[in-house]
Amino acid sequence: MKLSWAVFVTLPILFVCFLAGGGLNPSPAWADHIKIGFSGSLTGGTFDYGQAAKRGFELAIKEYNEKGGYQGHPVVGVIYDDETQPAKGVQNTTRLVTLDKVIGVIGPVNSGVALATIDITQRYQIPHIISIATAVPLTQRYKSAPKNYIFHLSLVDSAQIALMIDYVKKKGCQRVGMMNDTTGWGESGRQEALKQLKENGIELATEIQRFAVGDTDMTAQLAKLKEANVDCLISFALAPEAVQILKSMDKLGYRIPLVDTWALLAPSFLKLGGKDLIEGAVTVSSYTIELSERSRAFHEKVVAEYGEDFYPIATAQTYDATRIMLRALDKVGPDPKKMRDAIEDMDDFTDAVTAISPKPYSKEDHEALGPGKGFLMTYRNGELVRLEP
Amino acid sequence: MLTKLWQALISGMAIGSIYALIAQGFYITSITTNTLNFGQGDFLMIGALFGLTCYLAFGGPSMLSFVIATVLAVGLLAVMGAGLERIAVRPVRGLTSLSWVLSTLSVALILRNAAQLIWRPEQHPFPSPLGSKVLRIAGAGILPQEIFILAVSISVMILLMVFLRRSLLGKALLAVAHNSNAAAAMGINVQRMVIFAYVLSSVLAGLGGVLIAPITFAYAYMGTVLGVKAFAAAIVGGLENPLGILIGGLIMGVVEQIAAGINSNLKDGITFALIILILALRPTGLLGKR
Amino acid sequence: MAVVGIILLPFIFQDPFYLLMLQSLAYLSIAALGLDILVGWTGQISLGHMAFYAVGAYTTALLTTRGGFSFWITLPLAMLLSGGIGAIVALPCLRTKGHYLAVVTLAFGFVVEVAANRWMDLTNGPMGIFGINPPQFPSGEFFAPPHYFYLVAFFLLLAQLAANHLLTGRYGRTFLALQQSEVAAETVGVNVYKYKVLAFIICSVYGGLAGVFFAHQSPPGYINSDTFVFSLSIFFLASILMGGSRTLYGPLVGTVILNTIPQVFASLYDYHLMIYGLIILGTVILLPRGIVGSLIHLPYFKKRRKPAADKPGNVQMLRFMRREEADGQPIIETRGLLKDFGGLRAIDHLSVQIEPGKIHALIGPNGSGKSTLVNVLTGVYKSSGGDILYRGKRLRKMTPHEMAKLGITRTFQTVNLFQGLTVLDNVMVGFHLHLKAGFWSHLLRTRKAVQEEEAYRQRALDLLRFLGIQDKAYEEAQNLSYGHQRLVEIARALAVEPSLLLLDEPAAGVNPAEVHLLSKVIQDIRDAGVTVLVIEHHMELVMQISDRITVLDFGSKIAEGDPASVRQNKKVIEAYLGDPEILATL
Repeated sequence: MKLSWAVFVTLPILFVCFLAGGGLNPSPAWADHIKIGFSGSLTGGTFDYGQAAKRGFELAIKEYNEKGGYQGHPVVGVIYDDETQPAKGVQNTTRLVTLDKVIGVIGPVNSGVALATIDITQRYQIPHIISIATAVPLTQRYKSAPKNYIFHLSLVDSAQIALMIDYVKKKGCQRVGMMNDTTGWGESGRQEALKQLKENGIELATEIQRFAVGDTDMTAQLAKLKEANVDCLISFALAPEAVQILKSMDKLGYRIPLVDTWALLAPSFLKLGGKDLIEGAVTVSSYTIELSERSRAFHEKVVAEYGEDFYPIATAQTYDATRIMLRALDKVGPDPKKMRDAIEDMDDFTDAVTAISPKPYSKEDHEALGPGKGFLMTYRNGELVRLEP
Repeated sequence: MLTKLWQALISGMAIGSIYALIAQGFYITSITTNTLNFGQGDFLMIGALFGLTCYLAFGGPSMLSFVIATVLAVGLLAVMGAGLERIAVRPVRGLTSLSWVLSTLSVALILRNAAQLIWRPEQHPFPSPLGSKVLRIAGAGILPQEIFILAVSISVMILLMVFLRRSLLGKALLAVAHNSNAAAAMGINVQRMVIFAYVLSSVLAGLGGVLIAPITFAYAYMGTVLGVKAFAAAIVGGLENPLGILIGGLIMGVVEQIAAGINSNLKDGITFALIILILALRPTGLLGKR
Repeated sequence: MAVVGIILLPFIFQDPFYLLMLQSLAYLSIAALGLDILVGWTGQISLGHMAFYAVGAYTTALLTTRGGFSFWITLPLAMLLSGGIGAIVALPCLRTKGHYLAVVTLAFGFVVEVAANRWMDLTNGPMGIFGINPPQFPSGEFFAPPHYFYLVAFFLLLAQLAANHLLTGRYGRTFLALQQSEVAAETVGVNVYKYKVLAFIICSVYGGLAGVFFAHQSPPGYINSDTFVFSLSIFFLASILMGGSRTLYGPLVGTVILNTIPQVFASLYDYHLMIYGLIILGTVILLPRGIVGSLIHLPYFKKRRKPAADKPGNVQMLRFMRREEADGQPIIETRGLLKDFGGLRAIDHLSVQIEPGKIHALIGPNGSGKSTLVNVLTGVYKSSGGDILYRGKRLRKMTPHEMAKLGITRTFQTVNLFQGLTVLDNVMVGFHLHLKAGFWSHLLRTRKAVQEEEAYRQRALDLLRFLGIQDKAYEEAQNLSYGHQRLVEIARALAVEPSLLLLDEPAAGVNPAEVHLLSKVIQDIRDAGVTVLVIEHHMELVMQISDRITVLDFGSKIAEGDPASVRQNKKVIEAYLGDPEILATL
């Protein structure tokens, strides 16, 4: 077969695909619109966070457009699913900043995916507010760059872990154990936890145990902890795995206090475990519907629009993140570089739904929800209640 | 130490019997057609989700509704098995092995997407009809559902062996497995036997689904990892022998638990390293023909 | 032309997103290309191709970030490592038959997946390795797109050229041959095991190369373990299938299509799995040959393939070199040979001597052990006892291709050609032991390789002419009549230039006119200096051509001598008592 023949075949195919790709996704037609992008896990393991976040994104844009948009022009939200895969996240984000020419990016959900995508927004100098993923390195990676384009609006792991360790200390645990899942989030959480435990002078009773997402039996790992007489367990597990951990504890007749990250706020924790199993499990949060007047009102809004509010914190955080982006747009116009500065300098965001302050960011600190913004909660009879200090 | 080992053994056998149950399905189609449903895990998932819907529709946690749900789920899966054979296996028989691997896998993807759309990607609890109180066997904890699965796994294996060796239909299946030309010459409708093999294999997947869901939760992605591990169990035990598959599954489950007890990092890797090791020593699996 | 196309591409698709896509298309194609050499051409399945991609990526990532090595050093190192690991996996696995390799590669893929995820110290697991810089120009500037695209495309071009050279020449032919009939390939001297391992190593090297480009793709690069999962291996397989397995450009086309289609449907994310699944399913069922594969088989394209010229230089009969002068020694001799199959004794203390330069026939009723003897003599079966001597020297147990090296080859009871190859290619495989141009010569398509192929092509045509079927040279073997296929098989065997040729029931299934031709051919072969051992039921043929006949029954010799004496031998007649047809010809 001649080489030229192959070229005649491949080039047209390539061409057709790209043209079709351009045609089906109406980017050219939107060329005149201002666009903000969202890429998150709408399917895949952490889809519930993604779907809830998407709502916040859509609601914020809808409200903004109803009030007139940007100088009379509606803003368009471009949404892609990263299927909880970094490769897809990278592709989506690249597409958003290059092809779709968004002026800002919201998302993603997974820390593993996020770690891969922040390089792109930083390189293309597009402001990026991460409203769900919580890994510490997200805002740290470009901290020392002249302009850090990555912002965070989610209770960062370091703040969560500080609270978790607080709990362990107050509870009087003598022998602390730890388990984490093998995702990017679990591993980065583990690293941060080790660091903070050291700072607090707490040594783990035995080596850290790992488990994979989807595992159904953690008796082997727990047996090891039991052998070491561990009396408190710090875990980095998403809701389903946390339920399995508790179930495995029961199997071993070894029910010890469990403190996990905000993952236990997910509605699936109660649903899958049942209120008896999850009784007493401790989790971290920075938001409840009752947090303030505004959060209550927002909850009503969500219910009015979607029928229910299945994961309030995820929706609320993304809502605020999107509104910050839009507020910056209002202040300086659709110039990503200027918007970045506007976000960093913003000090009048007084109508936040979440617990962020009117000045969420500063040059040194891109964490809107840092230490002091979180609090512990626990499950009592199937209800989440604040854990009094 | 001993209690740890004993618990690992019990938990391991519980998990292992799950793998074994799924893997029996591989055995049936593999011996008759030299193909297998690479999407067996996703067939199991449909069984679980559909079974759950029926289970809840008929009144929720009770043995009766569980049985009804199982029967309905198994029925659906039987139809799906025949469908799979028609759509994804028959058209590609005779082509390279690559074809049926990809065709059954792609059907699995379609099913997974459909399940996501119908039941949403979230995980659904499936309350066990036997309750959730932990039972103790000489100190080791096990859930009643897990014992149930183990019992069913063993029964299925026995039934399968009896069926294949003693019944006329079973012998016809074996005949096709050994020599389809000769079987055809003896008047056996080979095509029908192939369809039957796939139906039987999918039935097992569906049964597996309803049994397992109380342990694993029912959700669109539950089948992916299980399918692969079950395949590994089948290979380890030897794809030629229901007993071998049961043993392969149990061994895999136990080894996983013991490995996790030594170092939780090893848990998943050890399974596959084990496959390589066993195959290096006995290429046809532990109980396969030499 | 392709070079022009490649240079133009970044100007057509200027947007960075498209450039990123083009880059990934390029290196993913490299991986697919390598995989097809294994899967399409040798017919072995690897379900763990992702593992080599991962090895390549991590090797270069670790060496550049932690070791400070330059890209230009890590590139060859990564390729070497991938190839090495490929060898380690392949060497033990490819010795056995069946789906063994598929399962082991599956398991190996998972081991790599888990190791990438859990071995935090090495790979940093899902947190990944950051700061993998692209290669640098001497000036220090990075190879950012579009320059990086040119770099990757350049290597793709090289990889494609190398593959084309190998696959359209001797190696492609040998790979295809062993895929279609390992046994036949062995008997003409192909060391099947070696070639399978070679294909696997090539596959893994390509995978590693692709992985390197993946790791360095943008400044600053980032890889993590989430990429290296089982579904990636499936993705590569699907690309090959979609484009067309066993074609030169199929993998490239398939990769392009399978990567761009999801982009078309990017907004339909709720259905993405379904779309992907339907595409693969549709291709497998409707286009099993893939896109390129189907296109090649269209009549339009078939007509355009013209056969090369035939320059019949010497129309004389082929001369076969006598390996030695006749020294009175039997060319092959068995002493007390035994072959058992479980409880059945197929060959029972058989002692036979075959004189050089003669046609020796082996006859006997069904089940007497004739074919078994042929299989033992050519190494297809191993004997259970007794000795085989070749020119007076005792042979240890040998594989068929080692036997072929000694000068012993055969034809089969049911014609065992490489059905999908042309008649000419079938014969060319027969020349395997004589072809001197090796792997590197063919990879680089040196003049030596090209000239050798040309020379032997001509010799093959001459051989076919010797048998009277040169006009069928460019037909696919499976399209010939059975009798002609027989002749092709004989031609292929002659290509080995054997000293001893075993013909297993050459007249079976052949019509009387062709039997007559066969008889002439066999005698011509003897006259050319080859010793022939014929197994036959066709008594007329046997009586006509044989110099000497040995009669077997139940695995042992019951008579031996020239045709006339055997014909009248009482024991022989008794043994054939159940067979009136044969008796009538005695």
